[in-house]
Amino acid sequence: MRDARIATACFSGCPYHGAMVRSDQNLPGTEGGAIGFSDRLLAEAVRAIERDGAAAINEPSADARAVEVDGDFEHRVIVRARSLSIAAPLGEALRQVHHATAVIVVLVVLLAAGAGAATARALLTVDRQEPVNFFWVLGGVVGFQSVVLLVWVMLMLARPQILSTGSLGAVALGLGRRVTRILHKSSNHAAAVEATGAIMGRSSIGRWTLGAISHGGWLAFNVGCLVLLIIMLSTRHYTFTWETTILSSRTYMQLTRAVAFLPHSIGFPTPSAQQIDAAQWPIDSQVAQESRGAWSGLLLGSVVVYGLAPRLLLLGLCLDRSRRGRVRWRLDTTRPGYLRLQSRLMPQSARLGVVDDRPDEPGAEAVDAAERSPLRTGRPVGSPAVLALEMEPPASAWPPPIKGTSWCDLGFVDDGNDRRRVLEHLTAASTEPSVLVVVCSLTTTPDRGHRGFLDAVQREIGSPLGLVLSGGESLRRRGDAESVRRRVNDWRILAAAVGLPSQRVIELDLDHCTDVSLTKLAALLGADAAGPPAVRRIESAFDLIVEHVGRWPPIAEVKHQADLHRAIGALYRQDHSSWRTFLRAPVELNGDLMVPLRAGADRVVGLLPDQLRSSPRWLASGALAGALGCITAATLVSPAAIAALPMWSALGAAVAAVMKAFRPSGAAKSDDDSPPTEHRGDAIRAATLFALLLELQGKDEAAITRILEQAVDADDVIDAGSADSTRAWLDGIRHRLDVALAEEARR
Amino acid sequence: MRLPLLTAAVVGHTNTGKTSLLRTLTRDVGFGQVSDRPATTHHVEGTSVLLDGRTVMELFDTPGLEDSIGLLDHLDALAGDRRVEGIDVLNQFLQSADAWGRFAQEAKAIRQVIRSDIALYVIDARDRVLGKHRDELEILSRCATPVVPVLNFTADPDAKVPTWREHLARVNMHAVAEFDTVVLDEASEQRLYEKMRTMLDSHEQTLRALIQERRRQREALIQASADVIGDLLIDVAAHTVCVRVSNSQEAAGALQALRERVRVREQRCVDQLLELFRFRPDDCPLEAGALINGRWGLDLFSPEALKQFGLHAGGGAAAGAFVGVVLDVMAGGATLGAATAAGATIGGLIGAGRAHGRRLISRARGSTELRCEDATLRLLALRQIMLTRALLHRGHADMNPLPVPTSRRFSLPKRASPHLPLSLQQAKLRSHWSRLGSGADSTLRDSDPARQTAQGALARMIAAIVQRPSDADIEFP
Ligand SMILES: Nc1nc2c(ncn2[C@@H]2O[C@H](COP(=O)(O)OP(=O)(O)OP(=O)(O)O)[C@@H](O)[C@H]2O)c(=O)[nH]1
Ligand SMILES: [Mg+2]
Repeated sequence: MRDARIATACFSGCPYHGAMVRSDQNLPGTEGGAIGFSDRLLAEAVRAIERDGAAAINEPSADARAVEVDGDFEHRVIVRARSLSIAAPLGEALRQVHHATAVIVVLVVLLAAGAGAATARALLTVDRQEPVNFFWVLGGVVGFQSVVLLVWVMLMLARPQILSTGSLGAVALGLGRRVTRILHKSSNHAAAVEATGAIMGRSSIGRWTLGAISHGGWLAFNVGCLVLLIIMLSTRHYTFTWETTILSSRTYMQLTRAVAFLPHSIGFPTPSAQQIDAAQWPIDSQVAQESRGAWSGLLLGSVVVYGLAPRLLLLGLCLDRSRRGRVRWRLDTTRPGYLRLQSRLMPQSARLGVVDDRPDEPGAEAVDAAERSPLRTGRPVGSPAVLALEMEPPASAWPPPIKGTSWCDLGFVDDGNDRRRVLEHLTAASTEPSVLVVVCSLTTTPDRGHRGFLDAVQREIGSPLGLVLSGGESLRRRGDAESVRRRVNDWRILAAAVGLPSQRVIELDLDHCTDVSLTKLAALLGADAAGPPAVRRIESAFDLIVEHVGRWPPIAEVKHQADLHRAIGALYRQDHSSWRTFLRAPVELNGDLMVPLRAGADRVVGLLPDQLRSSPRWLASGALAGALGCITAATLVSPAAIAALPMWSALGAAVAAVMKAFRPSGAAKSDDDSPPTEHRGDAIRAATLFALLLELQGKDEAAITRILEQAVDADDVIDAGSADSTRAWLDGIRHRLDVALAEEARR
Repeated sequence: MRLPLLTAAVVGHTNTGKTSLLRTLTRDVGFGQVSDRPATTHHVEGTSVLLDGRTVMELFDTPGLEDSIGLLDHLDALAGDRRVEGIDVLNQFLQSADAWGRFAQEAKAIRQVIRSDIALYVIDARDRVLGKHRDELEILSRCATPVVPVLNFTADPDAKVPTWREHLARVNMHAVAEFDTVVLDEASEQRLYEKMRTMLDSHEQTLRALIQERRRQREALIQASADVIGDLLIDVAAHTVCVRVSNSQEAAGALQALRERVRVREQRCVDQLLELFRFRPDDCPLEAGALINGRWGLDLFSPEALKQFGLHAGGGAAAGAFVGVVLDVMAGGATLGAATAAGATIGGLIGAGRAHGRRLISRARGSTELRCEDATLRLLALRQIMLTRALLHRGHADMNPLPVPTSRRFSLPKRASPHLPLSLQQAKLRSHWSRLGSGADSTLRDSDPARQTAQGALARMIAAIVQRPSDADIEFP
């Protein structure tokens, strides 16, 4: 039967038809047989299963088989999919999905044929006495489906992607998928359904397959219609007519001629001009009675030509296109599910491991170290000498100006010649330098070359070496505080290797010389210079911070923080009255706490540079520093004042209220859910700000703001959890503070 | 055709980024050890570059040439007053005991250079040209192997590229490559291979194939990332939760759950992207407090929804009309207009899935639905696009944690553009497209081909945005 044939045709248009497609394409010389559409479909199904990363399949044996294959990435993906243990059940699932879809398609086709028959019957069921309006019947059978066909063609040309998803075919396939999902609940079936969906949605195969189903349906409709028409026309007596109220009969004449042209040319009987004319009033026309055969011929011919034939052609076209599409279709290996496999199946690189010829001989280095002892001693001691090793001339004067010291300048040592020059000079000189200061840049990585040179120098002289590490600021600009610390450490290791005790290695930025740093250098030159460098109050203050923070419980209460602030304040006791005025702190704290605390907070926050003020954490820390500073100022002189303070809890509440006032309204985060390290961070920042403010007393406010801006980097976050990193963070600030002070002095 | 194998040795002073260069060139974050301390690498270590599964290039990392000044002195002493070729002196040195003792590291590097087809001499471009560099270049020039100097750290403000080029030209090295192993720029990688090509006629094809392969890889990565992002956006856009307005507690809970699901989903997208780019997940901590605005709102009767129900011609409705006509004629009789409307409704219902019906019913019961706001979708899209762009430019030697793009770095459309891309508008009407929160009945997940089509269209759009030049404004859509 014809319906069955159409159904089969549609059937092969469905996605999974392994046997047929397998023969379409053969890749020569591939392992495991040819690759066809069904293999790719299987790979898609595997991808669907693996899509949720959790279900990723890891079968090394399958990977290994894929890697053995001498083919492109797609090929390997497919071989892997075929070698997976899941391949067999998945293939079965794909087949079942396919069968379910095929059944639905057959049902749709049968339904369409039935509908065609029903339509024909409805159109010809009229009052037996009345003649049948020919154009109504023709319109009902052919006209309407032609409009639909036109829409399809237009969409295919203009927006083909719509046809992948919405059409009779799409409904049929959607039903097929749904039926499968209802019948089979396994994840394999889900993946199979998804894989077919992916192909339908992402390639042209989808729209051609769907087109084939749609046209197949319409073909069945036409066949049903035709069969019923033939039956009705064979067994009943119909007279055909045409009617009009406003159109002229000439129009109808031409229309009929036009419609009849094609059926006539392929041999269907069609009415002649006279017969057409007569059909307008068929009841009493002899001609009309005799032309029934011709009109029936025209009707059947029109159904064949305008309904059946185009559908048949389009069905052929769609089947052909979808078949070709399937042959040409390749996996889209740029989809994440495949690309993910690339490092396993087609790696871009493979490590070869260590390929040294021979292992290192131990002890090679030790030889150097053993022979370290000065060659010559006994010369008179002269002035200190200085040289710069692989350094650019620093921004400040060279050699570094130290009061009362006249340097023996050995200059800048870059290459082998310079090195030889220095060594020769040291050998030949009549005096021995009291100290030889070697200046290096921290931006230079210490290496064995440097070490060899220092060793050689050391051998030439009997006097001690001093190592100055300059350029810290440049290095800090390149990386974080941690990397600076590592670099300093590496230089210290190198110094230790050439026998320098650690106190003879100092960190000193010659690009930003300050009095303090020059004092350090003078100290390196020996006791006769300025004496041990005064420990600065700010350094002691920072030491205090590290020490206190180390003792604090996880959540520092106001009492702890106030203790720290008081300890810092004590360092600056000399200037107490000046900073008390500065913070506008009252002489005694009593009455409403909020007012003075708030005033102190306003003062500190007002001094913050913009960049800090825009950071919520720094803003809070500034407020905290002001509030605690106020308490410190008011209680520093007479310890008895502490006893007079309200309960710590009340004080804590007041401080918290002040801080809250400075929180930006957007960040409505309550204090309770910020982690303890943030509290500590706030506390450390506040204490640091407080110390800085005390250190900077005596400068005008604009200068203080400028210096703070340079010294404190809002983006440099503290890891408040560890003392080491707090220390590193403070070191960074102190260093930048020196630079800022030096610059401020230059202004 | 089998391409000839190319071997290249990567040499240079210590800590100039030799190991980093290898990591970046091979996209292998785990190769060797990288640190900013001296003498990190003390063996020759190789890695091969594969093309279609075949080794086409072998790269060798070597220990740094730390004491080139000392070594050159030593070589000159070995040569004495004889007039001999540099390579002969080197070979003599490699046989000697010093090559296993004092100069063991240098000897390993030199041995590898002599063995290789080409040497990449890595320079920290932030350094001045120093005696040690000159001596290193001198030693390399005696190895009888072509040398391509590679200026590393070129993205650093301290880099002294012109000075270096000038000096290298003076010692007859004109093919100089600029690179930065941390800020990866595909063009500079390509130029590096091209520089090698000018030195190695015999390996012309290998290098050309490599250049092409790199370009393909990059495109594939962009495609795949865009696909991942498209998947995320559709999942989120389609995700709706029904809640009863009257029960505010339930609503708040649902809102919370929705947010959490979207957050988790975003993190999964980030993980997928990192995996694609072959970075380890801890390279990219996701910022806490991702901005998600759950919004009260029922989109069901928006024009888009109406359209879906056949009241407007267009996308789904046109397809529906097609279905409708078929059904109408089969049923026999109804008028064209009514048939189109009915067909569109049926088409719409099928297209939009069962969910629509459920949504209508639940609305009638006083429920409303919760979904992510458009702004959230845009934000998600932009964040992931920025992440992809950052990953594209991240060398595999970068040790810093990946910064999460902040709101300053991309712009929302200037005029409040009311429309999301069509694919997302469709997704918003089809809650069954979303895989969020369907964990329990994941077997029911519908694989609507229309979702695939929409995701494909969205991915194409995203890929185009990802590829915009780096100074262009990033907008979505
Ligand atoms: N910013 C930046 N950092 C880089 C670049 N290349 C390398 N680095 C960093 O420089 C440091 C040294 O890198 P390595 O790759 O270990 O250097 P190497 O030459 O192999 O060092 P050795 O093995 O010790 O001789 C590491 O901290 C890298 O992260 C670059 O182009 N830009
Ligand atoms: Mg290394």
